[in-house]
Amino acid sequence: MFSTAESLDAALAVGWRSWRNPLVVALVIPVAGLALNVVLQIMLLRIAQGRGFMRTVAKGFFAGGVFTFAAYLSAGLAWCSPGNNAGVLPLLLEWLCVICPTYAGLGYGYANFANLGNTSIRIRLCEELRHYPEGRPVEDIRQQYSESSVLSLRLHRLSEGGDLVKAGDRWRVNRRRFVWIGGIIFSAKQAVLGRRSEFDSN
Amino acid sequence: MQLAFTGVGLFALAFVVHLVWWRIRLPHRQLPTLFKWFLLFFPLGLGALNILGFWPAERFASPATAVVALLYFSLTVTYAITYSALEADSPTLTLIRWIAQRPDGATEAELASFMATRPFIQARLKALEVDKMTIQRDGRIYLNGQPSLFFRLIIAWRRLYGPIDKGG
Repeated sequence: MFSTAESLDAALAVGWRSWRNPLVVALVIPVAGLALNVVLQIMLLRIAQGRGFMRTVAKGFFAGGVFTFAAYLSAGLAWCSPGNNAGVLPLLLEWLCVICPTYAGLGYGYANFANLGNTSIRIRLCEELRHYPEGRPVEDIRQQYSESSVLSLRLHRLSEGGDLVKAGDRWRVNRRRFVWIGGIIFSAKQAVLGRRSEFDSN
Repeated sequence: MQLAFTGVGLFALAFVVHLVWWRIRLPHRQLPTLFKWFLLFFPLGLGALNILGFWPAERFASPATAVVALLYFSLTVTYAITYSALEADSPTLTLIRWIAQRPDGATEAELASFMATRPFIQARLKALEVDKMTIQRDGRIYLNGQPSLFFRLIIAWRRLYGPIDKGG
């Protein structure tokens, strides 16, 4: 489909408004997948009354991905059907190379956007300050957002998600997914910023 | 593969330049600078491809450019949002990694003393000031005008599924 200048030019000649243009289809499918992901995640979270946040994010991402892949297959097969553009079936692979990374990128972006809204201290501080045009004493903020409240909220979230368990008086790791994610993030931090933590002195 | 290569290739080039730039000198406001750089690089990169003869001018206003832009934009969003986790440590990841390093686990007192060495709140308050989102004056903290569009989007989205927690 896009392997040669001729095939790309042929697709371009179909024009913006035609659904028969494979480029327009490639543009719409990942965005539709993302829309399904977002709507489903919010619905699931509302049904669960705010519990199991990460599970709803994963389910939304998965559902959007399945939709994207299914839509890609059906649109691609229809486009390459006998009498239409027969003989170009192998070129569907190229379509896959555009649609799948685009959906994965958009879906990952949304998952992190959602997580940021849920966990970011900065977002919550700003939201709270919006209700105080006269400002808030720094001491009040420090008390409300103390290191101990940061700790207890994280312990609550991690134990609710099954990532940590409390045995006796000791907290232990139960599921290692965040340990791996943390390892990747801290290594990437080293590569990009040259340090492993914002609290490192160097 | 022309579209996929163009989108991924432009992103990879922008990424390499950003990496070199960051290792030479970290920008004062990292995330906004990063985002602006990637957005600016796309038309510059396509223009350069046009000059080199790889991207004809008649394609600029076509669905082909839109497909490349969508792929490039999705990669940019992916990286920019990951970068926010690089720029500032995540309390959750810091905490769970610290516990994971202890086979016997940790008591709440041990966790509290570890977290005391990681002043997240102080760091976030400072970051809000550096990003010019808040002002501290006479022992009080104020919002500095209207929050950015990104913040308003997150807050609007967050309200869709319930009230926003306070504290911590």
